[in-house]
Amino acid sequence: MMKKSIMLLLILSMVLSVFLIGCSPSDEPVDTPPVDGTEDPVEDPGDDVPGPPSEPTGQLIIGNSTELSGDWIPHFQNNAAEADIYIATGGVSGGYPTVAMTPAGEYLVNETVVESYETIENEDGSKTYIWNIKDNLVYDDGSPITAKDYVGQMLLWSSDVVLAMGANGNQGDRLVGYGDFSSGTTKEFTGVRILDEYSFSLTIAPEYLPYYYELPLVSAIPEKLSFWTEGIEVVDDGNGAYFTGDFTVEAQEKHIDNARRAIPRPSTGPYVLTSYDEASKTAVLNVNENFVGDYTGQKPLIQTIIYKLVNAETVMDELATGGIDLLLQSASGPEINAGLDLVEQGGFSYTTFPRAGYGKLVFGGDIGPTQFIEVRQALAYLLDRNDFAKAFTGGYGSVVHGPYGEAHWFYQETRAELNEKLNPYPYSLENAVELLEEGGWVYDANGNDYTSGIRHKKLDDGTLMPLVIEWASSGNEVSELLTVKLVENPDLAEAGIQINETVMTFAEVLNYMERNSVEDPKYGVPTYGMFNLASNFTPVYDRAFYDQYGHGYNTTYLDNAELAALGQSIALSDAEDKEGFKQKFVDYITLWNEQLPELPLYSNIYHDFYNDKLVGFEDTPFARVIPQLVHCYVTE
Amino acid sequence: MAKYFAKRVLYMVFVFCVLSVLLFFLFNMIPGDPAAMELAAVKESITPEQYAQRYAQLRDQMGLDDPLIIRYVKWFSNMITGDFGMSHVYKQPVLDVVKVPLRNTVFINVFVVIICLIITIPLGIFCAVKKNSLFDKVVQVFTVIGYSMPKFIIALLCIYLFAVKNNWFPVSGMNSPNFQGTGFALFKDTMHHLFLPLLVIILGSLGGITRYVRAAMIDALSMDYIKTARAKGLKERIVIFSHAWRNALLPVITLIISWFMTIFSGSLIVERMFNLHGMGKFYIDALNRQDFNVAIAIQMFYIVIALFGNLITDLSYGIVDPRVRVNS
Repeated sequence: MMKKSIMLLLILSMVLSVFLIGCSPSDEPVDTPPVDGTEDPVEDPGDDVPGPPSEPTGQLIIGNSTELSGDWIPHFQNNAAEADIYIATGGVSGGYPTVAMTPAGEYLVNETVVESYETIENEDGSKTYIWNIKDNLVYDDGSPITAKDYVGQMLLWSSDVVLAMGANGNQGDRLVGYGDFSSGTTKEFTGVRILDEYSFSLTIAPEYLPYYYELPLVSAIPEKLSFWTEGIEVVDDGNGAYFTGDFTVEAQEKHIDNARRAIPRPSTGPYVLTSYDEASKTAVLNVNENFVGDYTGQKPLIQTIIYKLVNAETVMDELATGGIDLLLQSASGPEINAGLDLVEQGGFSYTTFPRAGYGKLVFGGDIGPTQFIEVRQALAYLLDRNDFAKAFTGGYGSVVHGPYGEAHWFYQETRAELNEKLNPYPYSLENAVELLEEGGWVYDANGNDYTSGIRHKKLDDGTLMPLVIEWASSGNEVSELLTVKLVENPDLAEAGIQINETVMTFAEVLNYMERNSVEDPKYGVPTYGMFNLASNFTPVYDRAFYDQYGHGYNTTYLDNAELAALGQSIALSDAEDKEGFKQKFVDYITLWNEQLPELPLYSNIYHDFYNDKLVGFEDTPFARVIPQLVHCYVTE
Repeated sequence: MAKYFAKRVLYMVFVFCVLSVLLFFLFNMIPGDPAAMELAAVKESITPEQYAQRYAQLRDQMGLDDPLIIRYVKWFSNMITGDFGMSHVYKQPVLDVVKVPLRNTVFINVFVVIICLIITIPLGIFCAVKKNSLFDKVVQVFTVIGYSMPKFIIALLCIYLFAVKNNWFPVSGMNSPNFQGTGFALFKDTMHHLFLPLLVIILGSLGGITRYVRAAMIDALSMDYIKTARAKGLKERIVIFSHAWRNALLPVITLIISWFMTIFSGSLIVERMFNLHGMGKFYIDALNRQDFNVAIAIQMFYIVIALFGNLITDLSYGIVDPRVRVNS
C-alpha cells in the first residue's frame, strides 16, 4: 500500500512539475545569447526612427509557410525557402555573382565583384565574356576566392556526375561544349576557360544568340570545390577547363550528398547558415563578417535572421505576439485584413506588390469546342473576371489580359499601348452570342436552327459538335468559385453552352493537360477542354516554346504559327535592343489576347507584413528576401 | 501458451504480408506521376530536351517503368531488410527522415498518455462510485463538451487565451528560435512550447476515456459479488479497487493498451496548428506530395504496431482475467 502511495505521489509530482515548467513566464530564455546592440534600447521610438547602425545588430524572424527540408542547394529541386537560404549564403545572385539582378528583375554586371570585363564576338557566331574578378573576395572563413572557384562551380553543376545523381546539371547549358561535357563525352568544358588567377571566360554557344537575356547566361558564382568533392582540382590546358582526380559518381557521390546538408558550410553571401533544427524546421543565419557587399556595395546590418515555420491559421497571431517579425506574400483576403488590422493597431507596417503570375483557365486548343477561337472568346465574355478576382482575392487582386506580370518592366513601359490594344472582354452575353453565331454555332441537336438548349456546330465532315466543354477540375477554392460564377451562371445556358466539371486530383489535372501518356495511356487521349491552375513568371521573359504546337511547354495545344513565331522572337532580340524587345512583346501579347489560349482569372496583390522594428524593407515580385534585407536594419 | 503465441505471430506475419500487397497496389493506383511532380518546380528553368532527359532518368531511378509486380517484389524484399527506399521529397533514406517526427510524436504522446490515464481512471472510478451526484453530473457535462468539441476549436481557443491575450505561452513551435541551451534549460524551453499542444490533446481526450471507465465501473459495481463483498463488511476502498475495478478492467484494458499504441501516432490537427514536426502531419504531407515510399513505410509501421497491440491486448486479458487464460 505504501509503495502504491509513493508511486502515486511521484507521478503526481511529475505532472505538477511539467505543469509548472509549462507555466513559467515567457521571458527571453536565459540561455539565448544576447543580441548585439540591444543594451541601449530606444525607449520611445515615436515617429523618430533611429538611423542605420554602423555594425550589424539585432535579430529578425521570418515566418515561412513552406517547410525546410534541410537540403540547402536548389540543384536537386528544392523549395523557395531553401532557395532563400541558398541565396543568403551566396547562391544565385546572393553573394558574388558576376551578373547581379536588381529588385526590378533587370540584370547588370556586378561591379563589387568584377574588376573589368571584355566581350568578344567570335567568328562562329558565339560570344565570349572575359571576367576579371577583384582580388579581395573571400569565403566566410577568410580563404581567398579565385577564378578557379567560379569555373569549378560551372563545371561541377554541369557535370555528368551530378546529373547521374539526380541534379538538374544545367548550370552552363547555353555555353559552348556543354552537351559534350555534361554527357561525359569530353573531359573539357570548351566554353569555360581559366585565363589566370583572377580571370576566366565563358562563351555562349551561337545557337542561343542573339538573346535579350545574355547576361544571365554568363553569370557565374564561386563554389568551394574542396567542400563538395575530394581530391578534385580544376585546371585548363588550353582546350577548356576540366577536373583532375577521380571525378566519378562512385568516388564523389557520398561527398556531394553530405555537402548538400552539411552545416557549417562555406558562404560567399551576406549570411552564414549557423544552425538548423529539424524538429522545429527552423534555420538560423548569422552575418558573414567577410562579405564585401552586394552589387551596390551594401553590407548586411541585421546580425541574425531566423527562418521559422508558420501556418495560415495562426500566422497573424505569431506576428502579433512577436513569434515572427516578417511575414511574406500574404495573398488571402482574410489574412490580409487581419494584417491590416494589426497595422492599424500600431507597431506593424506593410508593403504590397503585384504577383508576377496569375490564376487561369487553360483551354484545350485542339479538342472539342475550345479549339474554336469564338468559343474561347465567348467564355471570356461570360465570366465577369473583375468580379471573380475581387471575390477570390478578397479585393486584393487584379485582372491581367495576357501572359505577363504587372511588375514586368516591359509591361510597365508599354502599359498605355497595351490598354488601347487589348480586349478586356467585359461581361456581355450579347457579345458572346454574337461570337458563337459568327463561329457557326447555330444549330440544335437535330441540325435545325438553334432556338434553345445546347448549341451545335456543323463540322467539315457534316457531323454536329455540341457546345459542351469538359472541365478537369482539382476541386479547389478556384474551382468552387468558377462553378458559381461561370458553370452555374444562367447566361452560360442562355448562350447555349454547357460545362461539365470532373473533379480529380491536381496531379491528374496536370496529367490530362500535359497528355502524359507515359504515366497512363488514358492521359494521352485528349479528353478535357478546360483546366484551372496558376502560373508564375521569372524575370527572364522567354516565350520561345509556350506556343509551339507539339512542344512540351505548349500545354494548350493551340496550333497558331504566327503566335508561336511572335513568342519565339521576343527573347531573340539583341541584348541592347530594348525598344525592339518591347515592340515584340506588345505584338505577341496583342495576338495572344485575341487568340486566348488561356484566360487569366486573377493576379494577387501580395502583402508583406512586418514589425516596425524592421526599417527600410521593400519587396517586388522578383526580389528575394535576403538581398532586400541587406539594405534594412532593425531597431530594438 | 507458447503454441498460442507462435500461432499468433504466424497470423501476424500472414496479415502483414497480405496488407503489404494491398497497400502497395493501392498506393500505386493513386493517379499522379511522381517523376513529373518532382520536376514541376524546375520545368521552367530547364530546356525541354533537358526536361525529357531528366524525366526519363527519374522514372528509371524510381523504377516507375517496371511492371507493378516486379516493383512490389523489389520493394518488399528491400523492406524486410529495413530498406524502405528514398524519400522523393527529402532525397534521403526513408528511415532517416522518419526519425525526427517519430521522436517528436513519442515525446509528446508519452506525456499525453500518462497524464490522461492519471486523470481519467480515478475520475471515472470516482464518478461511478458517486453516480448521479452533483459532481458526477458536472463531470458528465464537461466530458460531453470535451468529447464533442473539435480539437481545432480547442486549439484556437487556447492560442487566443494563453498566447495572444496573455502571452504566457508561444503560439507555435517546439523551441525558441536560435535557442542555445542544453539539458534542463532545453527541456524547460521545450515544455514551455509544448504546454498548449499537450493541453489541447489532453482536453480533447479526457471525455471519452472518463466516460468509458465510468461506464465499466458502474457495470462492475452493480454485480452481486460487490454486494457480497460489502455484506462481508469489507472496507469500501477494498470493494472498489480490489473487487470492482479488477473486474471493470477487462473492457478498459483494451482502451488503455490501444492508448499506449497511440504513442506512435501523431495528431494531424494539433501538429498543424502548433507547427510540430510529428507523425500525423508528416504522413499527410507525404501523401499530398506523393512521397509514397514515406507514406507506405509509415503505414506498414502502424500495421505492425496495431498487430502487436492486438497481441498484447489478448495476452493481457489472461493476466487480468484468469478465466480467459490460454493454459487454463
